[in-house]
Amino acid sequence: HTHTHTHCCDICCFFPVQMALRFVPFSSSVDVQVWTRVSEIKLVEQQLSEAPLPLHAFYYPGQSRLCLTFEAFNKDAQSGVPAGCVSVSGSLINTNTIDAFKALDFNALAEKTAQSIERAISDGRALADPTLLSSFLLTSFADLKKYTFQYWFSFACVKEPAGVSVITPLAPLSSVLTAAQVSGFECAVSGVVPAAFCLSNTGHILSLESLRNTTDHEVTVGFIDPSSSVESAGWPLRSLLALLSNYLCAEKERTVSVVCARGVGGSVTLDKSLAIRLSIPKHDPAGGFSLVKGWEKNTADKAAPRSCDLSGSLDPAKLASSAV
Amino acid sequence: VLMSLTTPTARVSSFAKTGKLTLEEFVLAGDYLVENYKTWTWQSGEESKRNVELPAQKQFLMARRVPCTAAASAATLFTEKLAEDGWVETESTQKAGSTVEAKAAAEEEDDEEVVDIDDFDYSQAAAEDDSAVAPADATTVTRSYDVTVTYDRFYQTPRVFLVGYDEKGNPLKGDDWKRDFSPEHVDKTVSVERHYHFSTSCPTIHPCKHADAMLRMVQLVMGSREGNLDVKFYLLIFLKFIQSMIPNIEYDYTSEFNIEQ
Repeated sequence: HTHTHTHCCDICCFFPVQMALRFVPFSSSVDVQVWTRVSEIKLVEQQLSEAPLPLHAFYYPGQSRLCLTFEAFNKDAQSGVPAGCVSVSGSLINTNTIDAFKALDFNALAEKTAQSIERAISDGRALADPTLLSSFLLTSFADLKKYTFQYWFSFACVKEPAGVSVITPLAPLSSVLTAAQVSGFECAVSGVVPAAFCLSNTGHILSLESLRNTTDHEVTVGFIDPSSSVESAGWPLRSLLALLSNYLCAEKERTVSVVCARGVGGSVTLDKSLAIRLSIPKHDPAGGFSLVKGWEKNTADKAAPRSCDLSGSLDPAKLASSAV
Repeated sequence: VLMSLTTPTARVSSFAKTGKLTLEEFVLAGDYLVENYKTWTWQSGEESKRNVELPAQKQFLMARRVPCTAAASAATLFTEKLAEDGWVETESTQKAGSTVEAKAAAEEEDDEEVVDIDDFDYSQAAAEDDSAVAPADATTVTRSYDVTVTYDRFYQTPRVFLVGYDEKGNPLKGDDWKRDFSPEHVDKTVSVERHYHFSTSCPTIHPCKHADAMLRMVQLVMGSREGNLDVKFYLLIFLKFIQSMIPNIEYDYTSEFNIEQ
């Protein structure tokens, strides 16, 4: 039989049952100044070009909001990113007309983003830089006459492997990790915690690269988890599970404990963090990965773009002078 | 604006006597704030608007999306007041059969919503069958403000600008921000002006009384203690003072600090 609730009963503890694994999606949080920058870039640098522009965003541990600030277009991906937050990169496709925006092949564009994540998994780059697992796409149309902006985020990802099963649902760290691991993690959170990491049996935080050589039957990994839900981990875990299935060199499957590092402000804390124990099947290279397009819903909960109206706070004179 | 550009920058600390701050002291106090309260970050802002006398990466301070709990209660008070004056009827009577005013207001609201909704059907463009999507986090359901603290060269004090967002994260429109400020400050101490470091205009608290107020605050904090207060505490006290004007914007994680040195 199948269970979807997370309250563990006596029977569940003796007989692990298949539980539906779900993930809290990102929601976008865009500062007003991002759109003034988009306007300036469009008028001054980009003009009629619709070529993708690199940009970056960040998220806090325990907050499923992907934040874009004035610094989004700064070449330094760390600039403007608050301490303790995870900086992720993306690209912006800003069309010249609303018709061109509507005519975008949204399916193909999101798939392309997901494929770039898939490549980072296949060639191992994501082991060295796990933020590549959360690359995103932003499409937009900026109406520079009316100061209104249509925009749509794709939080594309590689789908978690089909055979992942839950052994222990999300629970406090002490019910999944060893005492040494808990105290090691507690030490680590006072410093800089990487976006994703391995946690050794002795409680040391290591790079995901160490997965390449491990022969341990059970491993512990962790990631900065944007979710604050007690039932589900956040979006980055999907691609991370795909990465794990690709680099666990067991015959069939492997038991993995995942630390969901959460916190308040930019600080990861022990009491907010949770862990989940999963069984992950070995990835079959012939089978390939499934991809998720992940288009964000708008504020009316529909799969459609969001809009932002700045006609009240943008200074027309400023834009006019940039246009000359 | 012209005056602030031509006023020579204060170099000598006069904080204990005047309540004013030099640029160096602003950076010092800002560093202390950022080091101790993670909600605050240094920002570099637009390159063209930078104050060359401040480090490029330390132009102003910012706390992002600070929750504002006032909107709901202020709106309720407002509706109650209207009801008292006989302008609208209560919710229950509206359901039974609304007044002309209420109906007209409701229709107007509907019209506003329609403008935002595009008739273009995007659902095919992004069709996806994904059963692993959990419900979105119950994050902020309140309005919020990006609180920025800049340096005002003319008054030689910090100056606060506030960029507001509604419950859905969209920028506040028009005069919506006024609901979150007490009426005695709106259009007097709080007005809409161009942000020193952005291209947008937003509510700001006029700094003309800041130095005097800071002087009094510092005297209060020091009480009968000997010596001068360390200037690194300036912004903590300043934010306490600002909080008294915008009590509904709850940025204050600085309520407990120890000035014993």
